[in-house]
Amino acid sequence: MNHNRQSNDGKHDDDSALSDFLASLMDYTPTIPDELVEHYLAKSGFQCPDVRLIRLVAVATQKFVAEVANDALQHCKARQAAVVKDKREKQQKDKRLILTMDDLSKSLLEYGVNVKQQEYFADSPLTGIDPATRDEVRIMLLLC
Amino acid sequence: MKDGGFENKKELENSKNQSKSSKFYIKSDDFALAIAKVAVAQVCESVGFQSFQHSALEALSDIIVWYIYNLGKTANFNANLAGRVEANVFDVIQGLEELESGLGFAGASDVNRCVANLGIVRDIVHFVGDGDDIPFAYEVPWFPVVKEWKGIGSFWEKGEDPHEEHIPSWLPAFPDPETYAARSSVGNGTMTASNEVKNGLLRVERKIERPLLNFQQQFAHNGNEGGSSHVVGDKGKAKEASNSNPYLAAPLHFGEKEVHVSPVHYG
Repeated sequence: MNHNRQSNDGKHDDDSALSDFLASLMDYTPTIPDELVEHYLAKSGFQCPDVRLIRLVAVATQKFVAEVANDALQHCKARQAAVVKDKREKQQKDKRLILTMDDLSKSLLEYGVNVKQQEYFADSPLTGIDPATRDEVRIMLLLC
Repeated sequence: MKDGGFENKKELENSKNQSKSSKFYIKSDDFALAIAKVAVAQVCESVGFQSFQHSALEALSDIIVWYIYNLGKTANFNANLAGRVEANVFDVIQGLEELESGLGFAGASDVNRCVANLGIVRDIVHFVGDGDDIPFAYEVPWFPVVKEWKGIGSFWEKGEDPHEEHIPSWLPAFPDPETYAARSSVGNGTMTASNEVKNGLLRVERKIERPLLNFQQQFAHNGNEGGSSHVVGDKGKAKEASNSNPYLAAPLHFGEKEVHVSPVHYG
């Protein structure tokens, strides 16, 4: 009996904690608009008249994006720190933090998303060769 | 070699235009994707980036669209598994756990756990509490926009009387007999059912084929009266056919009917 009452009280606390959490969500305006989230949730078959759940999904998605972007930022900064010690001039230019495909694919790999891009497109036999040997190869091809 | 390459490029473009992907990567919802790109750009800016590569932004917005979609699908699946149609917060949180499962979930092994003590929920609470919220940059209308569809209207609504007993009055009404082109040899292909096309064609018909129209009107009226000198052949069959459907009427032999042949100009 005591155990039952304790678990019931525990459940009430849990419920209040959950409803507090959901109420706090309503104060926060996520960057991802509700309409976009509702559109894709409707596409997937998710049905719920409660706005708080839509907000929950929006906040969770925003958190995911923020984490991925943060990881990419760390990669970008790490790369800049490695380069800066060579040249001082580059430091002025590389102050701009650019979200590149490279950093993004590295940070997404940790989340299990494999985004790989081709390094170059070989539309001619000379692609990918450095310019010094490229002229030689071109002359050789012309002669053959 | 060059020509071969060029041909391949053309074929590739053609194939891209023709093939509509049947999987989730449907590029027809460009509007939603554009909104997602703006939202992702805003979040990246808040994290600290100053600019981005276009391909990176597109990839990331594609991924978050997939994330939302997958979360909805998982939550819906969990709700259906529990015998419900509408999802609730526990379904969503379980879906979140599944998506983050690569990184592990703290607190999920307790049997008598409270959902609010889960690692994922706590992370979200911290996230909400930490930064200031950045609202979306634009005003987003409700989409997709649902157009109002005005139907043809039932027999009862139009006040018409269905010609046959087997046709109940709550069914949509037949189109007006003027739009039928079954009797003429002009072959102007007016067999359409939509109202707009019918009205447009009616206008064209009135302009050019007035004699034919009058003829058809006469035919329709006479058909309703039952039996006329215009209809040659099996009178009983023609009368029945003209009452319900001119397509089912007995076919005319050549030379039976005087038909005005006039050139048809559209547009």
